[in-house]
Amino acid sequence: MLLEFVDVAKVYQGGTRGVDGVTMRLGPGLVGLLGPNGAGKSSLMRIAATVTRPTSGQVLFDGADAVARPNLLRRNLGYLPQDFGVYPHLSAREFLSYLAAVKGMPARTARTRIGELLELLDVAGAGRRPLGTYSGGMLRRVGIAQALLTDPRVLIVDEPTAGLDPEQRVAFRNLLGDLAGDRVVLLSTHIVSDVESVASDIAIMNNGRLQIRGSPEDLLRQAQGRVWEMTVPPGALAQLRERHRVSRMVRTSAGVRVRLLAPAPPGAEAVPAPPDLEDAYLMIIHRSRGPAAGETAEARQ
Amino acid sequence: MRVRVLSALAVADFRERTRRPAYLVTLAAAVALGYLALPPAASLWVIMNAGGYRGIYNSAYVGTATALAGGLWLMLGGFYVVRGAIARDQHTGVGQILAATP
Repeated sequence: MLLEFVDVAKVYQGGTRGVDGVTMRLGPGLVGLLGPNGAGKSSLMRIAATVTRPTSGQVLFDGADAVARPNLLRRNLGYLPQDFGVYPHLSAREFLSYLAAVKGMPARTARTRIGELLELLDVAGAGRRPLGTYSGGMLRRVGIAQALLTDPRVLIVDEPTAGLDPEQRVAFRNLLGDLAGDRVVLLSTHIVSDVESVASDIAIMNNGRLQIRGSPEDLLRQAQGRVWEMTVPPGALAQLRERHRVSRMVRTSAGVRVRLLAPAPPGAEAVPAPPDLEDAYLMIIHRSRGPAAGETAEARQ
Repeated sequence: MRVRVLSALAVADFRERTRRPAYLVTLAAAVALGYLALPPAASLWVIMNAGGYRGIYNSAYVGTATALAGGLWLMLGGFYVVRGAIARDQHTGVGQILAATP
């Protein structure tokens, strides 16, 4: 089972390139697609879900052209869009029954499956309440339930943790990790912690392009020797942020403990720190935008 | 499109629309218009006038007048209730899920 993007591009009216020449092969397992807002993740997800046609390039599912003949992929697809919506006056059971019918599931199988999914996702108690009364987290769980209705071989989830509280995000991440197994799961997010615990394969997009793809270790290597920690007085913070990419700050009684990215020690008191995935992500994103003012100045010196 | 898919679409659409307040308002207005279609014999207006004659209020006439007045309103008011199905799917985001189904 393989989902492939071959030089896929999407150009919107006005010439904006939402996706710009993405080539990627996805096999069984969870791939985390990271990138800032506007990086082109959702455009790529919509193309993968056959909702949008690419301007150029190919999407292949098990070798078959999914752009010209999308139904093979659609029969094996579960899709949770970023702006997932519902009919607010239907209950979860009614809404899922409707989608199950549209997806071609027999009524009896659908009833059993809906019951299982509502139990699994902890919404069974509210299954008969109108969806308009659900919280954001509950709606997201209904969203993942609809994506899993047909037990799909390809699961595409776009920013699934938006609007969830920290506990729900952890539960959701774990669920996606469990689901990965022998299916293709493409998880798009701009929150690094959403993928670092569950994805063994991470792709980073920016400006419509795929910047890098690899294991978390591959990404961490990119930031090796470039992460520093130091404590500075609060007054020096602004100057430091102008010169370097600050990835984290903690205010302490001794000043502000800063974690930053720099090719060389940013000060005498700076100590090297082991990079984490967020450092690597920030470095790759900012490298793709071009060097920061401070980095340029350092390069000139 | 198969019958089951069509009937599921119709049932979901019916449930969604009939649970909205706008549906109840339309229904109430239809009942009110049906009532107004049968003014007392002494009133100055009628709904159906055939060459200066008006109907006798028996069950056949009452049924016809009520159905005509209510039905006319249901067509006019009902159009505003049922229109915009595609716009609704776009607006709610359900359209994207439907677009990704076979």
